[in-house]
Amino acid sequence: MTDNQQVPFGSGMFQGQAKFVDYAHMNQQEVQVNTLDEPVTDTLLRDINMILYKLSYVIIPRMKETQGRKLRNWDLWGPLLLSLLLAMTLGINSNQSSDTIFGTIFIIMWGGSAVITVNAKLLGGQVSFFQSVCVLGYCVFPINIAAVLITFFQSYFGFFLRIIIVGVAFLWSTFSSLSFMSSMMNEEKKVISVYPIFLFYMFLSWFCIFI
Amino acid sequence: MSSNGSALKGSAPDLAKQLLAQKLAQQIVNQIVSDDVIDDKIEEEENQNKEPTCCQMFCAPFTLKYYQPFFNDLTTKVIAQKLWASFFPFKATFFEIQDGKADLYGPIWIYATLVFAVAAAGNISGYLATPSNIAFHYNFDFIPTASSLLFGIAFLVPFAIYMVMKMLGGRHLHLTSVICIYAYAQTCIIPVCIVCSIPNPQLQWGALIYAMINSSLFLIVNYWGELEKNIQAKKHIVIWLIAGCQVVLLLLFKMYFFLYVYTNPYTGSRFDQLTKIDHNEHFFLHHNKH
Repeated sequence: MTDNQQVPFGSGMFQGQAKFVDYAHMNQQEVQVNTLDEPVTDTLLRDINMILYKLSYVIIPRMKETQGRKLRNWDLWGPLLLSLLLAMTLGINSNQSSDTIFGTIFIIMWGGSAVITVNAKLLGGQVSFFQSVCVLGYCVFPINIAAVLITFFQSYFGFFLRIIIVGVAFLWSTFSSLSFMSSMMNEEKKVISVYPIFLFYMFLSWFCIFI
Repeated sequence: MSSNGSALKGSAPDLAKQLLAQKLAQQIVNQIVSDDVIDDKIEEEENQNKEPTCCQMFCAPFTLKYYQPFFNDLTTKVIAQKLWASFFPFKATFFEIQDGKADLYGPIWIYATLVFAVAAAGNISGYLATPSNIAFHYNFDFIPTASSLLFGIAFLVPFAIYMVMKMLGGRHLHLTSVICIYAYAQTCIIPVCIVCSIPNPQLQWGALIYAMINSSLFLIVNYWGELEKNIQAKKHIVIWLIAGCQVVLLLLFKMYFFLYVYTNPYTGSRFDQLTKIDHNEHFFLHHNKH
């Protein structure tokens, strides 16, 4: 067996045969299994780079279809980190109901993304479930920035400046995710599929004004 | 596989044999795969002719396909027409829009908007009503309460109306269509909430009474044909049920969300005398309590 040039399908699991592997004939699954060997920092850095790469797409919303590259590799780490960050930032300030806030934001974000995606699918959009949840989660990033700014620089901001900051963040988020959602739907169903996203980000932004 | 162990080594006849062996292997694999495919097709045809199993019948509401008919052919224009019709309760045109086809888009998003509107408006009215020497605490408990209340009545009240009407002899009724029209009846509460964010009690009562009359009338007028034809003598039961549910709902709104919301953080009392609280006192009282 060890003299074979071609490695059979499942042998990537047995590290002892790795030295005879012919990379030209290996398939995708066997390449990924070899990442078991790498140090933990490498794995973490790769995930973090992926998250940062997607966040850069959110910061600069693009209206064209070139977003296709981002969408195909959905991941839920980014939305999880962003939702935790948002819930914790908003929970720090409020003393008596921080557990309600945390729970509410978490449920609204994940439940809301799921419902919006199911809504878009039922209305006939050709959208994959996890890709849509991923995009909606990443586009919460501007609201996160607003929440962090307001929490840590509270004394410098008057009420109107808060409203302006949160309003800008809300518009930014909505615009980012619009370019994804509206391209999936027919012309005549655009408003009814975009309105839920508008409501979703409005809900989350509203918390930032009143922490 | 062969006795010398390595692939693609050796003379031309060996090579030809190996190529032939590979071709045969490929054909066998193809045959197996296509047999599987044919077997699957036969099984599918048989399944279509069979009756649905017990499991399929009960699990159907958990699949997405089950809800697809309620979202077919739904356009912005249709939803806009239905929303517009709910503000004019004296015209019974709701069941003429798209031939009375029920949709579930309306219920979900109207109640979601209502939750947001009520929670936001309740807090704004509390904020505006709190005098300037007292710290205002945003009441986040409004959101879970509002969602439980609204999504609860979204299903329970239409179910009750449906059962009562069916028992009294109504025909041409579907549960989803009752859920749908009940949700569109609640649309008028959204602008009413915006108006109620001003903390004037008379304005709030007036607006909520308008919402109650509008929504009850909308339901009654649209069901009038059904009530007259099939229920006749006992239609008052249905009318009182509908109006009663709306009254209770709007009383709950007024008593919980739009009450004057200054809550003393130490005693929890909502009707405290307004006294000046400064930070030293906060500190002192806090320590005294423990």
